[in-house]
Amino acid sequence: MIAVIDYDGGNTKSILNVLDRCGLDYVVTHDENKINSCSKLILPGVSNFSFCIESLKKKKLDQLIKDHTLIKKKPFLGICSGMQILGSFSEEGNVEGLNIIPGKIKKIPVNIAKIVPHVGWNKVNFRDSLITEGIKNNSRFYFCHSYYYEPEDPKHCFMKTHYGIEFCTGVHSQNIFGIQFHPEKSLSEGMKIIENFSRY
Amino acid sequence: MKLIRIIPSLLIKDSFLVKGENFENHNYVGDIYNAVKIFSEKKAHELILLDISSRKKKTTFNINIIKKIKKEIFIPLTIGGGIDNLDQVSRIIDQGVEKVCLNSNLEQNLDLINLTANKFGSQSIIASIDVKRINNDYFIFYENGKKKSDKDLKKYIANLENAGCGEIILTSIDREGTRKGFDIELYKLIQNEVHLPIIAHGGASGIGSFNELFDNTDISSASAGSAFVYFGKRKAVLINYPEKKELDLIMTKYEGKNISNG
Repeated sequence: MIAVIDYDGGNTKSILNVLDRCGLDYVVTHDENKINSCSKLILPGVSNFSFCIESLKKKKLDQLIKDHTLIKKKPFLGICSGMQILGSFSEEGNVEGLNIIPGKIKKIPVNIAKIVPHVGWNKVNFRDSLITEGIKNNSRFYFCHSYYYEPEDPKHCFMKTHYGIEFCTGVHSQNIFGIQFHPEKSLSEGMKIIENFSRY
Repeated sequence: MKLIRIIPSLLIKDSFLVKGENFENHNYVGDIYNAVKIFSEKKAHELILLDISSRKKKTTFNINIIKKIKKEIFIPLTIGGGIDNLDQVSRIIDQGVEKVCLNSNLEQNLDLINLTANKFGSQSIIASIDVKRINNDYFIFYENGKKKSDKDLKKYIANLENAGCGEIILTSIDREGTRKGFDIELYKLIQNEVHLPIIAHGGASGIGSFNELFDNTDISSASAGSAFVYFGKRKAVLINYPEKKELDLIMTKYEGKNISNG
């Protein structure tokens, strides 16, 4: 059973449509007991970074997510701002993240990228991993963001994208995955990522 | 580099798909669900749906229609029409809609854009601006192109960016529905005013119009209605979108640099 964490800051409906389409079992919840009983966690996100962190803290989900990812080692997939909150600090609102995969969330430089937010179907170059199985390298996925994740340890970056500059669009550390693009809006390749994750 | 987006924008009136010309004379085009499903299957970059009847009826986009659509499509969706407050924005986004399109009450909307950006992030807001060309100058119109605003276009666009808007869809009312091509001069005039993505809209007739826009301006996103719902001079209704191969060619052409392997 997958727990889709519901915390006011996510776009849970889109992801649920994909989980339904893949025939996967899930529960949408922010309840500690329910999350405890699930074997995997998905943290969706479309909102502002500081709003995300505040909502997680308000629902006491910050510590819970740390326990499940770092101690219980449950498979975790963070999407968009659900990925960014894994970092240590964000320039969006100048607030601290959960520091699960240390790194800074930085603004895409407008002087180089010209147009920000980065919106559209861009190519993702990835290092093979469990969640990219069966997907052609440099496939296009849907992005919609103004900030990017710069992990402290470059080894944690397993996906890269070019948009004016080259930046990390996927972080991976053991059981923890974070992806900047939206698999739930990226047609069949996106669905494949969710399916792969569910088989973890 | 340019990250190209070609976006069908569909108009809804009383739960049906319609299309007009210069914001008038809207004809029935077909069933919404069938059309959105075809665009999703054809892998449209995104989809914009605007309810042009909601403002008059003092309602917003029907949530039940959104629910049904979201089950059919796996591409990003923007919803607009009659949105006046954060409550309505939240209800729409809660359905898994990626972006809302805000227009009409221009002054009020700067506050709403700000509130929405703080809650959902700038990427969830497209501000829609409709302009008419009068004596070689461009003027903003609102309420489905009926009322003329005294706001300066360039200043207003800058205000939108400051308020936290994520994208702007700029429609030429003169070109809308005419299939005469995009108003290149309009987009050249405003392309350097903001760093936000500007979606050109109004006048597209096919791939040629998109190429003309991307070749002659800094704009990388374009939207069209008629070009994607009509076929031929007699305007036979035929939902269409560039084939994947054709689309890949356009995207690669403007993209430039590749990602290093790693």
